[in-house]
Amino acid sequence: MTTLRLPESTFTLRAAAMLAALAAVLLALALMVVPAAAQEMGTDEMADSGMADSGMADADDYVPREICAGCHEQGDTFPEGHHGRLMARAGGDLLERSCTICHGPAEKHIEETSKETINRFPKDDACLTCHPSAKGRMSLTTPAHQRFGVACLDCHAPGHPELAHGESKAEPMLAADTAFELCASCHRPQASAARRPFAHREGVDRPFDCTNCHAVHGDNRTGRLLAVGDGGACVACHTEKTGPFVYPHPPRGVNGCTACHEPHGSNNPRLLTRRTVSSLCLECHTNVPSFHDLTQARYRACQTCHVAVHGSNRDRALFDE
Amino acid sequence: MKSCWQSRSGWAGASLLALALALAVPLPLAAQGWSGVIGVGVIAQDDSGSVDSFRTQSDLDEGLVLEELNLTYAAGEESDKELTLRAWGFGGAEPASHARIDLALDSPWRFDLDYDRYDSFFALGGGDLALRADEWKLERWHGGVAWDGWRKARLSLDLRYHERSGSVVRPLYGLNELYPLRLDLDETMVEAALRFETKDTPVHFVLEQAYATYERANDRRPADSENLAGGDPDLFVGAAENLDETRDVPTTRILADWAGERVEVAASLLYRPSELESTGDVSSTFDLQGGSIGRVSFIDDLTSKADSDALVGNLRLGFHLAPGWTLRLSGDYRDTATDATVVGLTLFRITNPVFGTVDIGGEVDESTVFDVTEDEYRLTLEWQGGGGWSLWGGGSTSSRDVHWRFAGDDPDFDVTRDADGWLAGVGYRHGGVTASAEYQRGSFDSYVFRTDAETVDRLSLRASSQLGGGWSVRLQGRFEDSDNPGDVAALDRSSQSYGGGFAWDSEDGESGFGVDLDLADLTSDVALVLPDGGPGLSTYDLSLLSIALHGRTQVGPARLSGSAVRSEDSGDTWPLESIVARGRVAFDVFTGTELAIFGEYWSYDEERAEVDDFDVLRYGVALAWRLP
Repeated sequence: MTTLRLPESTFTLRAAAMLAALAAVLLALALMVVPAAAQEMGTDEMADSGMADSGMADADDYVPREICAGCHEQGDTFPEGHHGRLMARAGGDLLERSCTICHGPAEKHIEETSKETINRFPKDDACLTCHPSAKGRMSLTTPAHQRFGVACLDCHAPGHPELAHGESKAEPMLAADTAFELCASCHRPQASAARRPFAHREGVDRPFDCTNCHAVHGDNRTGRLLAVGDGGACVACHTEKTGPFVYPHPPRGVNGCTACHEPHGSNNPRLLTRRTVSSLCLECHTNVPSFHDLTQARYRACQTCHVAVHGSNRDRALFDE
Repeated sequence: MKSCWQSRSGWAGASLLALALALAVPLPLAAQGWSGVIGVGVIAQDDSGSVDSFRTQSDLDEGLVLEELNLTYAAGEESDKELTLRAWGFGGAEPASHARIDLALDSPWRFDLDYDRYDSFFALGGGDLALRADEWKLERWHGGVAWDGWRKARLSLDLRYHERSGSVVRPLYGLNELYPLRLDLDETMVEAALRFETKDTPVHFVLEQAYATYERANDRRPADSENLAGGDPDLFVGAAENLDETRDVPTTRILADWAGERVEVAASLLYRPSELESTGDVSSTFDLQGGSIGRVSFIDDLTSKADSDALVGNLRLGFHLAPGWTLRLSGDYRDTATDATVVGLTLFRITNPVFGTVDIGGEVDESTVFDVTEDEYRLTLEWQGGGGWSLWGGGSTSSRDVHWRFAGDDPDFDVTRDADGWLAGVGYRHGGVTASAEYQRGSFDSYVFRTDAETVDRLSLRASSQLGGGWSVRLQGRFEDSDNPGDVAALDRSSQSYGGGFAWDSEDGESGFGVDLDLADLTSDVALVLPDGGPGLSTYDLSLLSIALHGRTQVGPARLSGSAVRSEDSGDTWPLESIVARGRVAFDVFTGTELAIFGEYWSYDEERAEVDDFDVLRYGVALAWRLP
């Protein structure tokens, strides 16, 4: 492969090509979007309320919450919930328009009060009215969620505190008490692994929050490590393994921590993928010197001597950190 | 069975005092405009078997625990001022704690402060890792300030401080024996990140520049002068670590995304050049025959430097071609290039009453290279038709270039490989019923590691349904086979995980129960080349059955809740059984005041050994106040 040496770093032609493609896409977006945006944003009021991309016809075209509350008690209780409080803090008449924003135009419903004339279960479009940037970001890291049809309200509570799962006490905008429970409802193998003897735990009733490592909305909160492959999310806590190292352990740099560890939980100490350390090491190392007598316990536990298994700055054989 | 409860009467008294103080706190808070909940508990523990093993798995202890603190102070309807406090875990009974303060003023400024503590304990009586013991804590502070006064953008500054302190005891190989070495940890990370993010703009754009510095100033000393096996006359009498080790890690990150009617675009770019510099000496000293013959020291006085550039890019494109049809294109790129050097002296120092001090050793001057470049491109076509059906399929191609050299006399390792794969799936989502099936296959043409699986076949099945009346049911299965040829490593790995569950929730949400059954089977065989040159086989066999139950209901004034998980591994490698069960009864003693009594049972039983087995019963009371 042809390699260009630059003063500070090494870029391959593939990287250059990708950067050029990225720049072209961003430029195209800028050219394409700015005129369109100028047409879309008709009033300051719409922009202020986050409705610039909503596709809703007119900000005046709504039924006030008080009208809805005449028949639906949810109209009165919604402002008491977390979602309602956030809308109130956002200012303007957002809270007063909240019923229409999520459940759609209600003129027909007022004329004919049936379930067919109102959107009882809002689709993603309703959420994206106020959260437009979520749409593109979801594409970045969770295309599988999109393929499987996971919708906003599969994970998020709508904000009606009177519903059975309308609002969790601990995480008001989640449709479960914890992020772990929420993810576990679909990701069963991972949830089951988290119950194994050796797993990341934060206390008795606090399973490790999946979002500590996974950026479900495409952004990441630490802004630093989730996007880097060599260690990824793990080194956010295990900072001593961040590197760089003079003598790195190649599997970590190539395949990441999961080359040797089960991140969601394991029956083996240290979340290792094997019960005996020598089995794990010998699967790759085929030229171990013959004095390693595997009938002796200390030679079966390779890390007893090769303690710096994640990388060393001093010793090529990883005898010391 | 022993009880730790009676042995800590002083601690119990302090706990009662804390509870009494906590009882008094909510009253003035409620009068001053606060709302929310405060819950504290006190826990006792009876244990038998290996407490160290229990702590290694859970690190739970007896003592106080802040179960929940979630308070909000609102200045009133005419003001946006709001202060929110959230915390849990403090008190010593749990291994993690968290606190967060958010402050919103009548201005565009927003402030938040986070604190996390995580304790790590590791000490097992059996297995390959029994010679190591960890007891350390990681504390993470984060402070953020944001300016939200612009209509189209937001600016924020985040400051982070991480500190790892405590100790690790591990073996040190010296004089052909293993000796216990204690490391006292002093590791810190400081980071500042400035972030610019647009809002309510057609293109959502984020630019972040962060700078982090990691410092390690650990110390070391003998944990014991005797060797671990005992009986050796040579004594481990000294160890020192005088290192000045710093890593500087600046990170630039750009995110941009846009979603229109027909097109979605998202891209990210990360550039992270890291620099390591480590200077100083590390030494260990032994008295030969208890010092009667003399003393030897191993001294490394080295300067290590490493420069690493990481460039990561992602690009996602989605085109809504026609009603129901979506084409997705994605590309990922990662390039990590590390150049490192280590120079200095390694000495073997002999001190003898007759000959004096003699240094034997030499200079070290090595350079290493470790580069990984990889890219992957995927295309997926999706169709969502009427009646809730959807189909998708696609392919991917990727390449990986790995190059390393760890010493001047070593040959370069340089492998470039290409891989490709495809997937196809079908989904159904209608009327509360969700089902999907997806098949993936991948393969490549050359090996980086002999354990790489040349071909991987993966089938995922998933179904769930809301049956009505509060009932729901779900089923899932995931089947994966991977292998490589006999002339590589004869890898043969097969895993199946499947299970299902059902749950019921009452309409008001006060009652409910659920049952989950999960099975995970994994068999993995890899041919080995043993140190004596002969053939060997690494076999791992896991057959895990997990049953989980949970439920809650209200009986009169009492709210009952409980859960239990039983896991049994009947695989050939290391059979074991684990049980965790919990129960809690809570009732209101006054308006807004809840008293709860709870208990937990933990059990761990390895079939082939007893040294790490345990049975632990934890029980306690908790009080919670809900402010209006």
